[in-house]
Amino acid sequence: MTTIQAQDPIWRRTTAEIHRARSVAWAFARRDVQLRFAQTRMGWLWSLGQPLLAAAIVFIVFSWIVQVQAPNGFSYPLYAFAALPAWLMAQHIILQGAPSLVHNQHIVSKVAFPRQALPMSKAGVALVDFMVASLLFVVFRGYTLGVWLDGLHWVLLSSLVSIYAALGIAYWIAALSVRYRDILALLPFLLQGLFLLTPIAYPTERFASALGAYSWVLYLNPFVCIADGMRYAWLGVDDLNNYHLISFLMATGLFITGTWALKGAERNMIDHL
Amino acid sequence: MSLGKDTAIQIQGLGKQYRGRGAFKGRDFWALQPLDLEVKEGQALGLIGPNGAGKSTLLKMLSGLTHPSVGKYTYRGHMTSLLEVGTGFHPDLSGRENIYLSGALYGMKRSEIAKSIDAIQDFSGLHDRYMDHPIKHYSSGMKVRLGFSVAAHLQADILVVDEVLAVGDARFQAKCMQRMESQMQEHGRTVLFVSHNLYALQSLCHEALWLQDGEAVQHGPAEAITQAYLESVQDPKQGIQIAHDHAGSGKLRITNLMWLKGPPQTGQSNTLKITYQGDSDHQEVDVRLNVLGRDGRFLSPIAMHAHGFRPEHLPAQGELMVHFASIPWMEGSYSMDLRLTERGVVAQEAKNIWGFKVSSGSFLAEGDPYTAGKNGVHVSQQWTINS
Repeated sequence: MTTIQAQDPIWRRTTAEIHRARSVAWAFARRDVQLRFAQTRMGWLWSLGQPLLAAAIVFIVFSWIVQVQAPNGFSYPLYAFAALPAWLMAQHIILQGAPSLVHNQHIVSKVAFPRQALPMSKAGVALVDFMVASLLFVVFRGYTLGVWLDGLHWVLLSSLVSIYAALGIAYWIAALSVRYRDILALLPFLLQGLFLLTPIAYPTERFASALGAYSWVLYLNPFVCIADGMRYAWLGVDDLNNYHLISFLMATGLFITGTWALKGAERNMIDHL
Repeated sequence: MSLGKDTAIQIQGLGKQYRGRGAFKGRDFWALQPLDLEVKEGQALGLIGPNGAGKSTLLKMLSGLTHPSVGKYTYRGHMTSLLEVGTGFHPDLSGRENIYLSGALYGMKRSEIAKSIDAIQDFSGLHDRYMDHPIKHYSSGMKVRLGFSVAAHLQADILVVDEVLAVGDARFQAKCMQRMESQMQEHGRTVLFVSHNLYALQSLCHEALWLQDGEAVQHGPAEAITQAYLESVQDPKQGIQIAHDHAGSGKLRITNLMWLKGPPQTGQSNTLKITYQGDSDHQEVDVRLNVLGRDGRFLSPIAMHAHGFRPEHLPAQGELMVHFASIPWMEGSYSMDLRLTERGVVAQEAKNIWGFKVSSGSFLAEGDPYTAGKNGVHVSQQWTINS
């Protein structure tokens, strides 16, 4: 027996609903994967091509032009590419997940399902791409420095944080975009800003040299702990410190508040779409 | 709250209020006034009423698409809403893949879909070789059939259906109605049904609820309620003001329909006056009025282009006259659907917009009145003896 009341609190959630969100997200993720095959000439090759292209751009800009040096005598490509797969995954989730409600409004306005399923489903393709890119990195690292998998548990943890931080941001934007479409126009700038402010292509020490005692401000970016976590995991450098806790808490906070924001927007969503 | 032993849905004081925003600030309105309703298990309840009466709002709240402003509802078992067929279909995916996607959206498990996929394909009548083709290569009829077939195999104790039977060819529609009826009888499924097709509604539903302007007007046996509703759209002055809230672009609207010589009588001449409004001159306008019988079945068109009347220009606002030398309809009640297009774009569309009564008379001056006890249309004919 199910009762729905006007005064139900927003956080009221049934196990059936969580179950439903998962199965719908799974169906959408499956659709995205199937669509990757349909109507594309190269299909899965893009999973290889995308990280390689991104790596090439990072290398050209930050190593050749800006001439960033990697610390501790690491070769620059190895240092920069360690965190790149996790960032590309987060970028995919935000870029695809944030507008997913608006893009699928014909479905959203006709079938009731837990709305976070749509952004969540975007993690499917992103995760597959992440695994392919990570494998590329392992091969690259094995070739230059030798295979080292001692930090694998850190890889798993960092990628998990990367997924839910990205989902948190995607949930927030998706919830707001129902009423304020303009926020979607800001999406490219947001992603560009996030990429530049996250120490992926440059070492985190640059934060301290730029802001000194105020460098904690830059750790408000949830992706700092992910980038450093990945490098720590793959290369054993960039020890994690207290500042990274700020970044980690931001990621967690974004996910929790984002879920809540989307749940709140769900109630009258179709009146605004 | 507990439910009565054989109650499927219990609705208590359920209402939806929309707040006016921007230019409409302060003009809040109730899309549905607080409503009490109980639907028994295995029953089918039909919702009738003009556009904007609150039918869809009620269904949207029950399906969980929008949250109620006041009140609550309780239901037993699994409830599935069907507001559209083929929801979630993606043109680039194959028929089979789309069945899985659409089924999952409606809350079916993958294993359940896998079990019924043959039955779904069978019901749709689609050939094996189509199932693995992207549905963008399907005809629109095939897509509708596939969508319906998924819908027909949804596992639910309570099914909420909104106007979906309006699409698809007649034979397939009948098949779907049959399937719904058999599901109700065999599995005790409860159905909430909105349709402008009063005939379909009467044949499927035991009970009907008549909503108007967000308020419940009458609730009772389907036949009595549909009859009362049909009579209410028949204005005693034989004219009707058509409200604003109908579908279409709204650039051109019919605002009034009226029989100039009073209530029409079979065989007598009469003129239908159509008053319309718009902002600027109109081009390539087509007016289609579908005359429906008491049971909601289509009887005859009153259509501009179909009768070869194609004025190049129409003034921004004015009146159109349709002359009938001899009213062809037999004694009885009739209703009308309206569809107005300008250069092929729908400007106004409304179902059951108006009803009128035709009084008894003979079709030809020299003929006898013909009463069949139901709706009918006289057709001109000539009788001769061949010897």
